[in-house]
Amino acid sequence: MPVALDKINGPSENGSAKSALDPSRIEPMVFVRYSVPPSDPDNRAEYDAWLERVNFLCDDLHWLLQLPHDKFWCQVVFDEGLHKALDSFLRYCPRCHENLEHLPEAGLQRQLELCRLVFLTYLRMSTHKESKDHFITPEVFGEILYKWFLFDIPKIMDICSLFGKTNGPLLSKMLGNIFTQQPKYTDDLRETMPTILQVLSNIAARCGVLLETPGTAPQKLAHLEGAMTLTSSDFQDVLLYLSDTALTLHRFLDMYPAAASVFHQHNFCSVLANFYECVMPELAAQIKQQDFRDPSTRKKLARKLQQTRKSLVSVFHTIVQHVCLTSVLENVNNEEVVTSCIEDFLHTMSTVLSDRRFLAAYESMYSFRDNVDLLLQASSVIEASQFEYIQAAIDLAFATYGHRKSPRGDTNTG
Amino acid sequence: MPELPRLTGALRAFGTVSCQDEAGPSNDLALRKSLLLKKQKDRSLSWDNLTLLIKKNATGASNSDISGVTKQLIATAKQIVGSEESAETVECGAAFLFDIFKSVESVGQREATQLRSTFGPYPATAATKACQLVRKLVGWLPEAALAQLSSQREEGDGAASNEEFGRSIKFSMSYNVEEEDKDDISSEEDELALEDN
Repeated sequence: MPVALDKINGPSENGSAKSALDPSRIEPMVFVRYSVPPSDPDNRAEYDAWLERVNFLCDDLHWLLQLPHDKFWCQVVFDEGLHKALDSFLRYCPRCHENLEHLPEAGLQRQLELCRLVFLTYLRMSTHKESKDHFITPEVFGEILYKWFLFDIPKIMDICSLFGKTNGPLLSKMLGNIFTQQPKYTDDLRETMPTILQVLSNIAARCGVLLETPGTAPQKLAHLEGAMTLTSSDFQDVLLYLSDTALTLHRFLDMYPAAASVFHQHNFCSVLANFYECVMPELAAQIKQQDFRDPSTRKKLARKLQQTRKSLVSVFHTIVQHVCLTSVLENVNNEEVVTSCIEDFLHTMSTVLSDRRFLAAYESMYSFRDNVDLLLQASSVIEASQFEYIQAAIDLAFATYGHRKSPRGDTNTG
Repeated sequence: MPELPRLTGALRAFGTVSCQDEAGPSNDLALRKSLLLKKQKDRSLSWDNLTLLIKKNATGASNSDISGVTKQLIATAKQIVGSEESAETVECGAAFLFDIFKSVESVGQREATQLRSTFGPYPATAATKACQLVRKLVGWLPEAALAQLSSQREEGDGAASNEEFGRSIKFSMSYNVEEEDKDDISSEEDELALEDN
């Protein structure tokens, strides 16, 4: 009968029983760290040094993935060099929206091969049952992941940001498995929320905006260094930082919507809408005003800002969708839950009614009316009139700030 | 390309939920190469044994001829392995060069790839010279001695017998920014919207 890896004992050199998961069983390896691809591949020495690292990592990850189940787990648990190499990859690997067209084809192919190998390594690390003969007891698996920092919240977000766009179904399963087998990751996410909120707050402050706290209105910070005083290089940094933040959160929530509850508990929707309302116009104005050396930069940054807008709105949508709408659909027979979710939905939307640019952007991507229709179909305890004031506010916001995609319509509602 | 600011960078720096990763060895590339050579050494003839075998079996060359060529091979190996490496590592590299070039006439694609994956970037002229020196040594060896060396190499090749995890898993990724733009951005209309807002 197959035995879980964590329960297998083998004799050691001195005759005593030794776990199959033992540091003495790892192979001596030197996993090199990944580095950012060179910006100028014509600098041959720099390019060769980068490619050499990539080649070493590819060779070593091929080797790792060929190891039998028990040896693979010994290596990934006890080899600190491997942890650091994988972490360096997650930190510095360009995301797929970043431009690598300057890399020679051979280098690009190796980079993509390395991406595949890292993805497979993390996939194997998030699989507690590899086959009917090779598995780890789920609780022990969860403990191993957490104790040895094989995954942590920044790593999970990096993985989503890197691979989420094109490998969604597998990645969703991975994340589901990790969070299910180790509930402490949800606690960690909760603990991370203040830092995420602080990041948004810091970006806003760099743009000269003090984000709204309950009971106050957002303020422009005339006394702080604002966006108006940013150099074009600093401005690009701020925009790229925000773009990465928005896209990372968007991909993470897309891959693991269950995390939406944690974001919701921290009033993230309200902060996000307020952030959008105050910061995006500042950034758009800066793109027009800044003096960029390269004329293509303005267009590039405008696109980046537009991507960012969509990511921010998607984050809001995923939270509302998961916490309110999906919950209603999943609990149609439980009046108490349905009522609570609808109240939550009404409250969430009510708190963002003054963020009119945000409302218009939301309405241009998702239809509030469709959400309401869905709720009305799902439950008999809801009345359309409960949503009218929100719809009216959205229509007004859309009439002022909304932009309809082609074909253009005559109506000014969303 | 420049290192870009990332959300996860802030979470690592200011959060409390990730492993505080200290900087690793800055010479990890050198350590990696040394390890590779050590493994190579473990599974093939040592430089001392190799030179001994050549001297014992060579025909048509004196010991001093052989010593002259092996010294040149060591010097060439140093150029490829790196002048800062230890004598032991350089000898290991020389044995590796002998192993690679003993059955080929020139530096082909396969050999170049092997060299690059073992030593990283290397001077092509040194590889050509090493190949010529190995050809000279091999030219002095009878068939039987060469066969002995070849059988030892095959033992060392030891390809992995396990199937690689995830070979059949479909993975997709590209760095096509234009494509990304098509998905995420729209058009002139959005750009106008940007200006209006």
